[in-house]
Amino acid sequence: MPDMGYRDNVMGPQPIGKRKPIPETLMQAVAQILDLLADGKSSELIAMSVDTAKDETAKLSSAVKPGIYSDKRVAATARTNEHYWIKAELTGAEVKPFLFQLRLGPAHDHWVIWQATNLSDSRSAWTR
Amino acid sequence: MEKCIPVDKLARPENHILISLDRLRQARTDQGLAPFNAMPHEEDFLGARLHGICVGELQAMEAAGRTLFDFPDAPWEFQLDMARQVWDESRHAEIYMKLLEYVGSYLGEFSETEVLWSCTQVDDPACRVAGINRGLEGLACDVFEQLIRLAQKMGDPIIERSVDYVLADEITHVRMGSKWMRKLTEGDPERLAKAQMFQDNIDNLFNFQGGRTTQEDARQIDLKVGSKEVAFDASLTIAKDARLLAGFTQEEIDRMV
Repeated sequence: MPDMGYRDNVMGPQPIGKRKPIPETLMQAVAQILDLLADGKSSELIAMSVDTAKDETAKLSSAVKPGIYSDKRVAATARTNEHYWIKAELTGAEVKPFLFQLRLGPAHDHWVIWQATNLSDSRSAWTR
Repeated sequence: MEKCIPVDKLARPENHILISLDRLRQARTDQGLAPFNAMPHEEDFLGARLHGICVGELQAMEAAGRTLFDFPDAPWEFQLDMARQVWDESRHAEIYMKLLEYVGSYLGEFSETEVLWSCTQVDDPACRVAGINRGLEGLACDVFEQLIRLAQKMGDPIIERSVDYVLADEITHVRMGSKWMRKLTEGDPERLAKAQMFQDNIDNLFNFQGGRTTQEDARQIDLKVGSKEVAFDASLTIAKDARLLAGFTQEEIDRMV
């Protein structure tokens, strides 16, 4: 839902809370992950994962053919408490887009991967 | 068009995150939180609770619409009730989208789960209304009554009155469910038992492993909402009065605590 803009001149009830911004460091981590995926740097990606997510991350990484994607984008974000769900896509000329979803959580001064799911060929936003 | 569509066919925009309840539970337990939805003692409680309700209203709207479509041979009055419910739920979703904005959140800030839609996965309209209208809308009565009390404690008439308007509709939806569960199973005790069992399963799914209490038994904790701090329930409570108004029996209510 879009922000309703400058409210000081608006009559009626005003919001009682402020939006929690998506941390910049999170988006930087996501950009780094997208680059590592596109470049096929699997071991560096796995190193960013918690133990329980290392297999999933390796599987995700192995599904990407390195060097064929020229563009990347974040399609959606959502959060569960301090963990963020990130749906992102790698695209390139004449290649099928690679859509996937991550769950990232804060760990001291950086972000780690808690879940990694390949969403390519799945319908809707549903991730089992 | 396909009938009784599975959860992976729910249409959602690409910029939306819909996950399974298992994934949500995992995300919460990984953070040391109780596996279910945000509880009153959590910092995000109000926004996360309103968000859960908002996407629940959207799925309730879809579910009522689907019930209308899935059972074209059901009585005309049943279809009219379901159509009315679609309208009600769409207004509720709009109300909650505004409330989200009011508390500093927005639709999409939190993930959506499929849990409400999974309760539509049955091909008998009597079971469908038992599960959705009596099971889930009954749970909505509990959640809304608690939100109204929280808003009263906060001295916030916006949340209090908005949720009260929605609760009034939910009570009629439960009544509608009770009426049609009985009517559609008239003279067929086996079908009635099946519908009741379907509702029981849903009640069990949402009883939060016995974490629900009566209002009187709820432990009180300090809850910070925006700039206000209030003493409030630590657990989800049962809305006895609203449930009695909606046609639940005392025995049914007692079973939930």
